[in-house]
Amino acid sequence: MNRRTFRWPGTRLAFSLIAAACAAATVPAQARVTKIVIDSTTALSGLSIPYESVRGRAFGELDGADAHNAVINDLSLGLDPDGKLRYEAAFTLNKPVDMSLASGLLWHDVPNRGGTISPTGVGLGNGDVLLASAWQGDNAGATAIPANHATGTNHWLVLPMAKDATGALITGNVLARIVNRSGVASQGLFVGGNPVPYLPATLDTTQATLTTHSHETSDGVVSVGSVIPSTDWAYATCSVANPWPGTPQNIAVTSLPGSLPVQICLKNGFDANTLYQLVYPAKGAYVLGAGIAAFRDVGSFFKFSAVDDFGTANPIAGKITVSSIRGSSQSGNFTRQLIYMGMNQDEANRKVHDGAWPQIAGRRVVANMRWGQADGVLELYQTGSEGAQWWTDFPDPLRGNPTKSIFSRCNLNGTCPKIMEHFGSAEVYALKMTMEWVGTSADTDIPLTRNIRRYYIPSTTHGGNGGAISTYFVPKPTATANCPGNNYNAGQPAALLANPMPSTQMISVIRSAMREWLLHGTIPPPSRYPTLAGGNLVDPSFIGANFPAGVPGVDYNVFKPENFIFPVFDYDWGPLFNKSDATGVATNLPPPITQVIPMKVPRIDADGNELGGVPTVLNMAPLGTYTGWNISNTGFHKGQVCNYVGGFIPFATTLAERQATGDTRPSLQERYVSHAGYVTKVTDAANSAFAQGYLLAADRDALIAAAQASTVLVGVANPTPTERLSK
Amino acid sequence: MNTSLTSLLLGAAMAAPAYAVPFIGPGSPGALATSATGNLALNAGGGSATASSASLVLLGGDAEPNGCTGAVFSVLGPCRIQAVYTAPGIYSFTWAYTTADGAGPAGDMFGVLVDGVALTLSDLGGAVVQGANSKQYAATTSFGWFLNCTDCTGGAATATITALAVPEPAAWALMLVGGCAVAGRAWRRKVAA
Repeated sequence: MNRRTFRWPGTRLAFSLIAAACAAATVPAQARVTKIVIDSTTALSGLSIPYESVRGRAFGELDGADAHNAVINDLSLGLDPDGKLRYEAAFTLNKPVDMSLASGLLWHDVPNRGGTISPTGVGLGNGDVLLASAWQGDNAGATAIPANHATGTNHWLVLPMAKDATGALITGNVLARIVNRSGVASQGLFVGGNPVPYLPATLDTTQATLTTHSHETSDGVVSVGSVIPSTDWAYATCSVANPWPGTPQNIAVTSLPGSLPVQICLKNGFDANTLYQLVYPAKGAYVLGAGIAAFRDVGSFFKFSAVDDFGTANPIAGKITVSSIRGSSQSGNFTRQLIYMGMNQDEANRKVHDGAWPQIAGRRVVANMRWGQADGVLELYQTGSEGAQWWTDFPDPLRGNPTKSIFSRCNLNGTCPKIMEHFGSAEVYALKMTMEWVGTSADTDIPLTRNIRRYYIPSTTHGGNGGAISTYFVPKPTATANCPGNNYNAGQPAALLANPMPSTQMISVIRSAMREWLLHGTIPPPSRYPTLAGGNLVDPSFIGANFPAGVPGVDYNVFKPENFIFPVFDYDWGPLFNKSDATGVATNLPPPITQVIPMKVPRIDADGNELGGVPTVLNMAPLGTYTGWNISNTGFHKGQVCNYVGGFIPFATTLAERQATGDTRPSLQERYVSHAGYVTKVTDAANSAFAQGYLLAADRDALIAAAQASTVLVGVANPTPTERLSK
Repeated sequence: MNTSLTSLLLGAAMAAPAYAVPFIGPGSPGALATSATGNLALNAGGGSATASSASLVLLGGDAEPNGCTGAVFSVLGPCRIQAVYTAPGIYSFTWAYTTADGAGPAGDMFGVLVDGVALTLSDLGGAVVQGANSKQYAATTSFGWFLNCTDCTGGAATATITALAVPEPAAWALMLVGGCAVAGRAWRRKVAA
């Protein structure tokens, strides 16, 4: 068959139009950081080269018509008449005084709940630049906007509140809970330690519902008490000196943030054995998703721009070649959310960051839905686990979600960053993390890609032991743990001691590896984490069935499903909520739990310590059982897993000591015989971890030295033959 | 002997004592067929399978001109080096695995082929050096081992299989007696019917 070339008369014109469109697409859009203000510059000490800390504010605009911003929930409700949403973001820039000494690497750190980031705490040095900038624009607690914007050290963000077509503030229902409180004094509405950022729309309590719960299980069974009559409570501050009905709550938005937390006064006072759940009409919904775009644009400005629109120079202009986002816990979840929203691509279509390091974070932060409470930690009726939590497209038929991943959007335009992530055991038990690894059906290891590294640090609490290295090697520590989280109320004591297992050394490995990966292309150490295929990821029931018997301080009832791991709940948030993207507005409050998603946990050895993950010295030469869970000792959740804090149960020193308590775990003496034997074991473990690439040489040497300096089996007589044989 | 009876007998022999047999030559389970799948070329830069009486060494593919067509990193795919016996039996062995892939074991998966079904033994989230003692499988038609380079870049893996063993003759004799008994009972049932 002869082929005939058909030439459409308009071809040249069409190509011209396409070329013009492409050219337009590559021209930086008008919406971006338009102005920066430097408020202060101070010298930093204790670093290898002279550094300075530049504190300032970035003023930016988001174009409501730009497709890059279309994913922002309620964006259209926060626009100025010219179609732009405007924000002001606090930032901190820690940089070498002499930028010719800069390494070329920019770490864009994500503030956790508006807080500051210690430059030395994140290993600043080597000429790296550290930028922290605000993203959480809810003006409450640590994100509260100071009266004088040029002051303060926290990272706050000015965002508009959503308004309807008449210019009135949007209203809607919000859920908040009060637990572990007693007495006649009023109590505030908190989430994750910060005030719930939304004021009541009215003081009329007939429009709200305050319900009591007498019990809640870890797996979502709620025993509802009663509805407190609207005449028996008030939005008010009260106390013994200022009894019921107290002083009415100030609900003027102009009084924010000083009027937070919202206070609830009960006519008959609070009962510590009761949980109080309030669903109330609120006003002042911030366009939270714009904060994620603000973070994107501030990062883009400092990486790519020379000056702002007013001629103020970017202090690090032209000195940054690669960059990485970095965030821990809530901030790590923000990092995942930013990537999920496709916001590693700026409005000029550039890939903002080359790498991302979400730490101890297995969900996505609640920062792109109306009435979002970004401070939440996945407690009952809190969002965060909705939609894809994994890195490669994977089906989610159980929840009826489409096949997606955190990378779905950035895969479309090649803006996905290299990923390094690390986790510990507390994220498994309380922060619902293993869904990231095995999906909602929990029967398949979800594949990673070559540009992703995952490191599991077994048997660690949330963030690991941040104390001095000497605290790792205390045979009989006394540091106690408290149960974190709003539901559990920080300060509630835990049954088990604080978990001394560190993650510090592995974080140093990852930091070094990420630098080398981005700056020089050096391949980082391989991923290490428990898998189904490898047999180190098992049902939670395995733990109860295989935990060593007779371990002092452990109430074995904790292993019952109603007390143990916190599973992901599939909620019905109502028809206006997009459960795949976690956008829209939740109208079913409290939401029915439609199903409980199965969780997995790392397998344990005979001591109860976890298997799988990176090799660590304390796991290979243990002084006890290190758990990612603890037990609530008092309060409403007594007997249940104590939210995201780990625990520790030391080994007995001698056979006689453990026999006296019925502890089946071999004693220190049975394991190591002597102090020298223990040090030898630590040395072998450190050398092994180093040889495999999961411990830096300096840390290896420091760990061995600390073990030598420890009191483990010092002054303990050598074991008798019987004691040796008992092992 | 039908398949279910074979399975029954093989299953019964799983717990029987085993004795060592060579991978190739007299006394081996049979001819060991080695091959490459996907776009790997055996012994031509695409990996290899080398058997001796004492061991079988699989070297995975790596850096093929086109990697592995149709492959996805960390997912079992089309590109394998494999060695297979077409013979039923109880196969026990030990294995050792090491990978030079910078991305770790997810880049190269080792496992067994039991009646053509792939079962992964290496841990994709585990160490770059792995292994296990005395794995045992019952196969009704064929048994083999594979090394699957998931995208065939980043460094090759090596799997070394040793200590191949089958149930002792006494165990087989016991199974034969048991099999006859089962067959006899089935025959009597048929006659009675």
